[in-house]
Amino acid sequence: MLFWLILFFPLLGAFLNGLVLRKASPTVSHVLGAAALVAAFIYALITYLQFMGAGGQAQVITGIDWIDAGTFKAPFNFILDRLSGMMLLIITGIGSLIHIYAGGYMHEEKATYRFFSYLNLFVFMMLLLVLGDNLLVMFIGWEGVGLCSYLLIGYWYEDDKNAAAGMKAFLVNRIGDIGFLLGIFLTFKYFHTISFSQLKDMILTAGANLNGEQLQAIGWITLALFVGACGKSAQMPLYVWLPDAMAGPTPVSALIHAATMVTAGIYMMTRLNFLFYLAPDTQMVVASVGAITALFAATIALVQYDIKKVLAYSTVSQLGYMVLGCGVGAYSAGVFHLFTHACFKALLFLGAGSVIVAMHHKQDMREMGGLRKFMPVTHFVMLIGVLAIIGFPGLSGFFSKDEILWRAWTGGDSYHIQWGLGALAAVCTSFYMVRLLMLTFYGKNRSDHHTQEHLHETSVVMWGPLVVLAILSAGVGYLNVPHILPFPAHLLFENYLEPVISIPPLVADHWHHLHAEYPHSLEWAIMGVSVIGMAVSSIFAISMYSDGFGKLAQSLGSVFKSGHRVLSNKYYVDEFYDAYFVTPLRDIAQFLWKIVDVVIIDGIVNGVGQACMLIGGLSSFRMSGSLHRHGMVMIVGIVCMLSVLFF
Amino acid sequence: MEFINSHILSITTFVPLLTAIAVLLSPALSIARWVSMGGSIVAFLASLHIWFYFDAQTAGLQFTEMHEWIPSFGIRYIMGVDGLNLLLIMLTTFLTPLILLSVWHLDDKKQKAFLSLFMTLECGMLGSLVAFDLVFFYVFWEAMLIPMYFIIGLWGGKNRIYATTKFIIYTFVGSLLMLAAMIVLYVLHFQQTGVYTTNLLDLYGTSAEYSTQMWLFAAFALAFAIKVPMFPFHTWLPDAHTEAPTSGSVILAGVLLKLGTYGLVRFAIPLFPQATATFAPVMVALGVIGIIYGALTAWMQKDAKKMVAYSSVSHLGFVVIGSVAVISGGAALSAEALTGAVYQQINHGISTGALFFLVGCIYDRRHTRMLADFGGIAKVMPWFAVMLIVATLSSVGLPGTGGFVGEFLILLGTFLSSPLAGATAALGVLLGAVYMLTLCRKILFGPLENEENKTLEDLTPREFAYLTPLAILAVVMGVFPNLFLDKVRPSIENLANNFRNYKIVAEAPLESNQLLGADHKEMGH
Amino acid sequence: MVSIDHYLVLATFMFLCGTLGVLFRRNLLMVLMSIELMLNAVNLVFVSGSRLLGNLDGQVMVFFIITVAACEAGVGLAMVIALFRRYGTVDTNFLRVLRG
Repeated sequence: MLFWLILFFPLLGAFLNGLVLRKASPTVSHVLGAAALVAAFIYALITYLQFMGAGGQAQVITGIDWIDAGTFKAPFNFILDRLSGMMLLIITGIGSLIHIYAGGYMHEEKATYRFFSYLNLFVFMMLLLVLGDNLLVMFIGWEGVGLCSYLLIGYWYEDDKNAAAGMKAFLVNRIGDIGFLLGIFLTFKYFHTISFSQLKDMILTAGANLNGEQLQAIGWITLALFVGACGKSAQMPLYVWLPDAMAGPTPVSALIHAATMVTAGIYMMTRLNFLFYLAPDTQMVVASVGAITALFAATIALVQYDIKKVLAYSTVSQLGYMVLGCGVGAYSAGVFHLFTHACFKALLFLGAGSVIVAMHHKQDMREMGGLRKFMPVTHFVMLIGVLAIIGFPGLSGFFSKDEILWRAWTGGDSYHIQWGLGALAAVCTSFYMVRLLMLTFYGKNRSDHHTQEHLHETSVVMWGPLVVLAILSAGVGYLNVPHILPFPAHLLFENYLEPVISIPPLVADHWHHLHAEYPHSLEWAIMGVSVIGMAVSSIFAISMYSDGFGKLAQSLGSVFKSGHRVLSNKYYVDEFYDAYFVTPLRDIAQFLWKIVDVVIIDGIVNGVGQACMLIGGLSSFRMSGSLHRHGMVMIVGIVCMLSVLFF
Repeated sequence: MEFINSHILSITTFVPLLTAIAVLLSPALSIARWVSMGGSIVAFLASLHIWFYFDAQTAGLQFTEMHEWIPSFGIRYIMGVDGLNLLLIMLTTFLTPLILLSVWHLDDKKQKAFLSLFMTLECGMLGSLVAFDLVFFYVFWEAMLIPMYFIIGLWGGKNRIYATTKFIIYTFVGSLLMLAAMIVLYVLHFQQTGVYTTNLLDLYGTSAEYSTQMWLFAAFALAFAIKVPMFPFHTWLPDAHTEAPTSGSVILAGVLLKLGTYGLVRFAIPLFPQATATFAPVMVALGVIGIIYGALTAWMQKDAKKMVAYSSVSHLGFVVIGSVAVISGGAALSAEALTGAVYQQINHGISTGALFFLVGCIYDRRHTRMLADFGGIAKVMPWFAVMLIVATLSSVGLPGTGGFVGEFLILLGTFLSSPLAGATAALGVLLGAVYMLTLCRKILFGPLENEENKTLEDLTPREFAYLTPLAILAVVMGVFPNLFLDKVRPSIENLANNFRNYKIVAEAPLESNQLLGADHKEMGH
Repeated sequence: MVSIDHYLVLATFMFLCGTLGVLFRRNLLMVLMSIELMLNAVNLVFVSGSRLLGNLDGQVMVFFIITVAACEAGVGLAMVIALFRRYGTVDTNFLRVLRG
């Protein structure tokens, strides 16, 4: 029963805020929205503890039927296992913190009922996504979070740019969703079920009995689903919506576009890991896309000025890591990075949000600097966040990212390139994150006089959640400490997820390296490379940006002018899509309407009509209009016909 | 009770006609309004009676009524309801009171005539839905056109005469071909059995030579394809919609178009199964083209109503491909796709009906439908924005709205039948979002710049009253589809699995059974 | 003795009169009356046929025709009045809307 309340509270909050209490004051909206989430978190925690207390065995919670048609069945069934339980806590826990924070962030708005309503609805949809026991319930959540993302990005809809960004996010996600749909169709076609638990039983028990056709189908299924993951988790080539999504309020960026929604693709692949294991080719694609995305986005982040854009590209890059982890078969490493990333990226976004509020909604880092003095708490938590993301030894990112890179290296010879890309991306990460920190908090303040006067630390509603997140960012890494480091408990997280991750016996040989022993020296070496790369590029960044855009930064910028231009224009990807996809499609549509529809089809239709009129007109010259003539002709005609008949 | 049960279909069908007469006779418009509303509500209640007493366990024909009409030609008055038409009957009777509510404020001189025509239209639609006799069906099918002709022609926009003439001639061409095919079928049946009958239940068994079947199917399918309308017979639709008054558009999109797809499922497919299997790829191809084509052209429209009109072409493309998704080498139809097609008809009626209503709402206020004249309306009309977004989401098939259930099942079934067609049609899901979100963005979002838009009034209680049921239904149909699917499942599975050898039994004993001959008697039990 | 032929000849004569009237009278009223005459010629044939064959079918038909004729006269006269109001004349020479 408690389980249902987890889903019920966010939905209730969304309903009350969105439809009933539209006239309420912002405080009421905020308290209601946050209370719904906190309540959901409490019930999630109780449910989780009960679940783990009972041994943590996966259980299916049966709900009402949803769609039954022909042989197709998709009931509202929910799966509670170690993976979804963990996601449950992340979503409601971090969600609660962000909801609380959002009240402070949005305090200047006159009416926030829409905001909190959408935010609660988002949490509900996200819970459906992670809890659904079949692909279709997951798909409700999958599209539902996309909807909320669309609504929230366009929250300040009066600016057409925001509305456009929201629409772009929705449409790009829909491209991925088509892949997801095709994945569902294929799954149903070849396995006659779309339930995760049934699929898992079928694959693991039937294992060797899968016929060739089914095995081949799994390749296509996983590939199609991965297209869906690319859309939602912002991987190449569908990542373009995420940077634009920063048009939404910052808490939204933290919750949706960093901590939860964008990780849905990783969650889905992990949920279906038994299928992905059976498709080594898809895994190769997944790993490559992840690694390329990680590096690609990281390089763009190097030169961005907008603080949220840096974080956005950083998110894309970090998602690339997670996908890389899934691709090399290290699902627990991928999910662990998802977990740590949710903590430190939410922290970074919210910290950036505090900075933005303090700066009167200016987001350009060129106007910041020296904020350390004005915002000590924010500075401190941001510092922890940055250290965590760049993989500073001892903080959470260090453990999670290194685990992925280590798994990539040991994934076999063919994965060494992916490892290389990932390691390079890590170097870039440290550079741009340290750059962000230096430009924002160190050096002299570069803002105008008016802004400077009003610079101050934010209220406790805002920095309170940040502190909690900072503690998490610093600490959660110790849940998964590799064997080589001296620590009382090793790889707790990996063991925790063990029951969820299952390599089908059929392909156990192919993935043997996942359980192989490697010399410690190799592991030390890989770790060393990451740490040294991190340290060097951080020091480089510190020296470059110790006081705003120093000489070094400017001269580097002018030396690599063209490179800088390409990077700051994000490799012209948006322009490319515009020129080669959107515009041609628009032209085709215009052609179809103006030429095919109006000229050809309607031309034929009206042509037939006009032809009739013409023939009628030609043959009507005998029509004098005199009744008597007509009658005469008629009677003569009748007489003629009768005579033919009778004589 | 017994009387009601055995005559409920006649009551549902002809109460609107009686209402139409009563409306004409009523002394004042205010009375006429109440009379028409009362009549439409009685019809709705009657259809609710059907809904609640409908036996969901059987694929047979229920609440059947049969009377001799012209015995020497074997023409009878036969009515019945099964899973294929049940939902459409409900949709018709449900939409009519809402539409009457939407024209409540109009008070020009001809308004009484409008109400009367509208009730006649309802009778025509219901009649063609419940008729199980070819002649009887044909009469209603054509009778339906007349009120629609006048509704567009008298209450329409600037270009209404062109639009209504195009509408009527287009549809007539198809109907005439269908009439010819009906006569051929009638004669064929006589040649095989020696009995003249236009009873559809008997004609289902008629076998025709392959080549004849082709022609007959083509004639029927063409009539229905024009009505649907399928690409490339769709050009009457945007014109008719643009010129028709809001109420006319709602009923046209909501119910009239569905009669085309209903006709496919009820007549063309089970009567000519072989031809169906042969033509299915063509139909699917045209349907898929329609989906993409309709979506792309809709995207380019500058007139909100025309955009919604073209979206119908796209949406009904889904219904068409869902109706003819053959599987197992042509031995059966995909039950999933067929369920989706039947369900999507209703969803489209709800979501597109709501969209036309909403476009009507802003047209009433601003007397323009050009997207360029709007922008930022969400600020002054927040509830309008809520309604438009709900209708949009249902239209783009977001999970949780009815549109998703229908589209998903159709795509799933089509994919099982032909992966290529299914995958291509799935693009429609993307393109649907492209144009609908463009519509939303251009109307609701962006800066509120136009002076005239700044003083717009939000939805009035009357507008709420007819929009809210649609919005709620759109969500209910997405979350609890089984409420509806349970009723129609047996009929659909019967058709899907046995369309090669389709038989449908009348559950209740038909009246005047003794006139029917031996083979009828074994059908009733 | 009046045989069936007499009736038929009379009916033919009446019918011809009516036809010629329809064809050559210019006044719409006269045209309508001529049509009535034609209908009555037919009635005469029916009645006489009925008498000759000894059953009532023909007479039933006559009743039909009388009814239809009454309707026709009603509608026709209404149209004549309407035309007169609109054009100020019922002379068929002036009513040439049908001209192609």
